[in-house]
Amino acid sequence: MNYNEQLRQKITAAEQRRIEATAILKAAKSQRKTGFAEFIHDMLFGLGLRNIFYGIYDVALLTIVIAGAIIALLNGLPADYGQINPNIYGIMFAASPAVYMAFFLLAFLKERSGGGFDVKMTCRYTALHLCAFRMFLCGIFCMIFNVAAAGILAVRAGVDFAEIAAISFSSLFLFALVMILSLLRFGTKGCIVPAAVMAMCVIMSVFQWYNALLRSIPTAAYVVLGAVLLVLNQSVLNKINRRFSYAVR
Amino acid sequence: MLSVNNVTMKYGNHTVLDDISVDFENGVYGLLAPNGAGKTTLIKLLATLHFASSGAVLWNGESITALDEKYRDIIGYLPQQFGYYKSYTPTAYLLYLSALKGIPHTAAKQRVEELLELVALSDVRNVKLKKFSGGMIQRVGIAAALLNDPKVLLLDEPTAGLDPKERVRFRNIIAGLSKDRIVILSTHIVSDVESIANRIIMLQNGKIYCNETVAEVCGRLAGMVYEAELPAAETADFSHNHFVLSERFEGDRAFLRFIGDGSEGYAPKNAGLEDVFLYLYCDTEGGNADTL
Repeated sequence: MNYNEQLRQKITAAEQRRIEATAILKAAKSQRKTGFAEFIHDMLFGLGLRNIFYGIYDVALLTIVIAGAIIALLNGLPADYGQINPNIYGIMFAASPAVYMAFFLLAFLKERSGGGFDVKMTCRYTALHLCAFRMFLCGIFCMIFNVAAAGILAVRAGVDFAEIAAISFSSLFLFALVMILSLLRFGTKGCIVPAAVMAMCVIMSVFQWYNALLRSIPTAAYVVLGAVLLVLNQSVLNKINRRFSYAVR
Repeated sequence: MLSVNNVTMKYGNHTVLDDISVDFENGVYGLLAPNGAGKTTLIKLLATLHFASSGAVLWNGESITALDEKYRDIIGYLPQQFGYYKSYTPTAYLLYLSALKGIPHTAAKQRVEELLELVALSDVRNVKLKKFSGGMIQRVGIAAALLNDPKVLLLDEPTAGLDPKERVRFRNIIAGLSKDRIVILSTHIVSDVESIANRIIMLQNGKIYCNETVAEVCGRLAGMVYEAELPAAETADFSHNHFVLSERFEGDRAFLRFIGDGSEGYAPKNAGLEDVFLYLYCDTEGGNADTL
């Protein structure tokens, strides 16, 4: 093959690649971008709750039992517990993330270990869609848990409802964000990060300076922080819905 | 048509697939290579479980990543390890996967019945999966891969754990399915693909070594395969001086199949796919690709 033929072949190959690249970019641009509301609607009515929780009913039940046990424990506290144990703020900072983690990590690990993760990743509704939606529902469940726990503490133990609810709200979504990002970044190994954060929060909750630090932050700041983290969480979940720039390996 | 265009796949510094290009049309493609050669990586790439470091996979000219769920709707995938929930029946599990694949419930029920019949599991449709043998689980996996009547069927080591009878049944199922779809079957077991594959794709050092019919692949060893009958005691010496493909002993006689140049007076034999596989992927560094 002479030089001219080689050059022509190279140009043709380059041109072919350019045409293919343009087609790919065009297809990517024209791709339907579903919003979060459409994602929720599609999951609820397209797939249904029964299939969303398929195989992890036991984990969902366990989470409800854990949350119920915490509520029952709080309900049994003496009336002046808020004054007796100032560490209650640190404990509440860790409580709703603990419920969240119990559900999500167990469900995720069960999915990865025996739930046909790879096969689900090739379905229309992938394992990541399921995880994202379960996180969303778990977030709602934990917010209800927060309000119930804060209400009980306010009534039974004389703590400030708004303050404790705001602390729990922000901690929940801070933890949720740490968890999803670490799972997306490191896959199954990423479970270590939220577990370590949780352990740290539980250990820290026994120190008075930590509780004092938590209380030194204004309630409004917690509300704003929680709201920002909630939006960030939603944004990440939506990215999973639009998928797979973050494929879990 | 499914096209793999200049795809490179790297894990850190290790290149598993190196600038490979291949087009798939309807028929059975046997992806044949030893363990660790990149078969699973290629299958996972086609199943959208991995993303290429560079290059693209196109379905009818469109990137499978951009096609997203439209592409996933037309693929069926059976991984090496088919995960399942042990406490569920095959019917329940397949109906669940049908829901994930977006198949309406009524259509799914009928499809699941058909598929359980096809893989000969209709008698145990309501038995829990934890009571199934490895072969039965694999058949559930095959049924799962066929739920959406896929245009592209990706099977990664599908006959692992199957007994000979089940292997034959599996081959017949695949042969029957290949008329109007692409079936890509990765294996290191030559007999899995020898009789059913329209084309054999062999990987060598991360590149496609060949993409040919079985006859063409076998033709690479034409006139090079011989069989010698020797006293059993002489096999060690013979093996030392020849590339022996297989040995068979009958009493004190040994029958050795080997690669030769015909200079020793033995009659040449027809080469089989297994001969090519053994010769290409021999233990010497880089195999014998250069001599074929």
